[in-house]
Amino acid sequence: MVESQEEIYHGIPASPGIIIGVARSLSRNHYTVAAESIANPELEAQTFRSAMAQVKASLENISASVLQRHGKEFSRIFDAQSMIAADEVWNKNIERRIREEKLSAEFIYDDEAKKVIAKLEESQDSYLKERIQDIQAVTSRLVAQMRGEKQTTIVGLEDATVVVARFLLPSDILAMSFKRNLGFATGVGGPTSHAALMAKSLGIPAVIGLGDVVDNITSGDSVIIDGYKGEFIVKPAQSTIKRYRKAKSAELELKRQLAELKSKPAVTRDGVSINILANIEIPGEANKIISAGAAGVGLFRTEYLFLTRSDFPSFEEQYEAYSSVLRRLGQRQVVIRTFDMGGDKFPEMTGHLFEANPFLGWRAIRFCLDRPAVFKIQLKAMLKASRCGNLAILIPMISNFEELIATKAIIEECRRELQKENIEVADKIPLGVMLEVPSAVLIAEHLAREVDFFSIGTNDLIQYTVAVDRDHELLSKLYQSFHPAVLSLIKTAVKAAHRYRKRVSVCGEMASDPLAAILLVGLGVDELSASYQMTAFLKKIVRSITYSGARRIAGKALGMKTQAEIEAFLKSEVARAFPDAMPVIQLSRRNSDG
Amino acid sequence: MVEREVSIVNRLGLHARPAAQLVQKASKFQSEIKIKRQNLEVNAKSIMGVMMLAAEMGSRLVIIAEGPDEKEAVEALAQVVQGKFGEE
Repeated sequence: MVESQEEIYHGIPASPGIIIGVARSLSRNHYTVAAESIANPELEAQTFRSAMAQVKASLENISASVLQRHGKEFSRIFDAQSMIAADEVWNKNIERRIREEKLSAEFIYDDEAKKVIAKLEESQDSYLKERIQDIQAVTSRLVAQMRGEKQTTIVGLEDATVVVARFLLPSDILAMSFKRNLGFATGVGGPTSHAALMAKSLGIPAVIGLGDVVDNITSGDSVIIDGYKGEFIVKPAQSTIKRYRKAKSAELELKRQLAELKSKPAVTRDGVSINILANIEIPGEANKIISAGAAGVGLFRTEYLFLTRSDFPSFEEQYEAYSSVLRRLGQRQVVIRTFDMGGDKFPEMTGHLFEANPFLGWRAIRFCLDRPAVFKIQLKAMLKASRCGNLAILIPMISNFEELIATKAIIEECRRELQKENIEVADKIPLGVMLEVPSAVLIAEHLAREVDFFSIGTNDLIQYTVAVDRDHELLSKLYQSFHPAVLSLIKTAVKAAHRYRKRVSVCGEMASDPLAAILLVGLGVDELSASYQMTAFLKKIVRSITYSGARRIAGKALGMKTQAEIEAFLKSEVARAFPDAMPVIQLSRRNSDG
Repeated sequence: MVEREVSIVNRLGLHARPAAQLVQKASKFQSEIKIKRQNLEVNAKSIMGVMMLAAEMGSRLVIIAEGPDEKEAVEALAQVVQGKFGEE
């Protein structure tokens, strides 16, 4: 038997995990409906009515299970589709046209839907445009229903399945999320896209940003996705399958071993404790991080409260979100970051402003300080929620001293206003700033006196330090996490913080890379915050190393000239000094086997 | 028949939630209610219809009602729009 050539593609690792299985190609919106004459239009109209009732019922079903399993933030995604399916006036008009024109229901529904889509496409408004996807989703459900195809068959599949699509809507991902052994591979999407966040939050392995290759995949193709390394392998050779089966069983074995670490502290072999925290985007994730054994929430990215909506959440909605997380976490600390929109995230929230250079533009704290009405609602919701648990507030994108002072003044103003309304606020709420702009790191001594902690956002800090857009295809080699300048900035930040007895945490992707985590601990970082799937791995890393050893390794690395030199040194030193850490590093590090 | 012109004053226009509010309100009246934007006239009791208006902030709409409760209907819908759908 001749084996066809295996193909290996590199995408963005959006959600960790390995799936060895069968591809299921999802060619979204490719339903074709021709104008088909109908002999019995009355029967067609009745069939349409019951098909639409089915669509509505299945949307409600999905929404209800999603609500139960993942919470309101997720189930809300189905609201618009449910409303469309339930549009009586619209559906009556479809039935009338079926009777008059004697054409198939799918054709007429699609024809009417296209009129709405055409109008929405003319709009400049990205929210209105998003409804196009909802209309298409309902239409494709209706077409499938009329043709007797089941859309949710993926859930019933026995085999490990990798859903391959150009893009996936949050509603697609949710509707499929009940299947076990499921993974996603998509053509588009950045690491902070909705689909990526949702896959991560639901614990479904995913590789995204694969480009056109997804178009050439046929359902039934044998595939592997490696959500740790961002690899997508089509028609893998027997030897590759074998290698991945081994990696997968190593993963399961490691997870089994690590399960017992959940209740154990993250302490180095020489007795230094390092806090392992989790990042969350959605309040519903709070339960997951507790069961993963994290010491608290190191970063709650509040801008994702916009995930399923198009406007700024109200005071009440924000209070509800913050207080629910704080209550669930009890005494554990919850660091809530104020809105960080702009750059690549939710540019529409800053008002359709065109920016030639959004990453250097009107984003995060810059936006918030210019829009105090929006900012104050968020701060007040946080302050009110402070009585429900152990809150800390984190300010993103600080680039100068004045921004910090202005923010502190606004927080005090909010506190006074709440007290006037007799709303109780915790006496002492730790305040921290994100260090992600080199200018902030270089004035860290001044900032350290004014705050309670630093949180280093490595993604942006690296990008701003080496002047490389991290999503730029041609520059990916220049985006260097282990650039000596990056190490030196981290060291500077730690020194300044520790001089004033303030804590430093790292919440960027560097904290999720076990090898980098050792370096960070060695540089003096006190806390690491990564997605909850990494919690047990990071604990294992911390428990496998000695603090003195990590410091020695970091100290030597600081003196080196290039990333290549630093990375090679780290790998060999860690393998030699901390062999217990190697299984985790081998599993989750990109190119670790290369 | 009663009609009234209103402007969309909420920043995000007639996106899903405000559109749904409008439809819900309209459905409470017996009268036939239309909303017109430029040359496009839609049934105010249909979410697809209201979405088709693609009404952004600043759009001018005409609410037209005909039936036993036409006056109350126009009044109520105008209030929903001018009250920014409870936003901000």
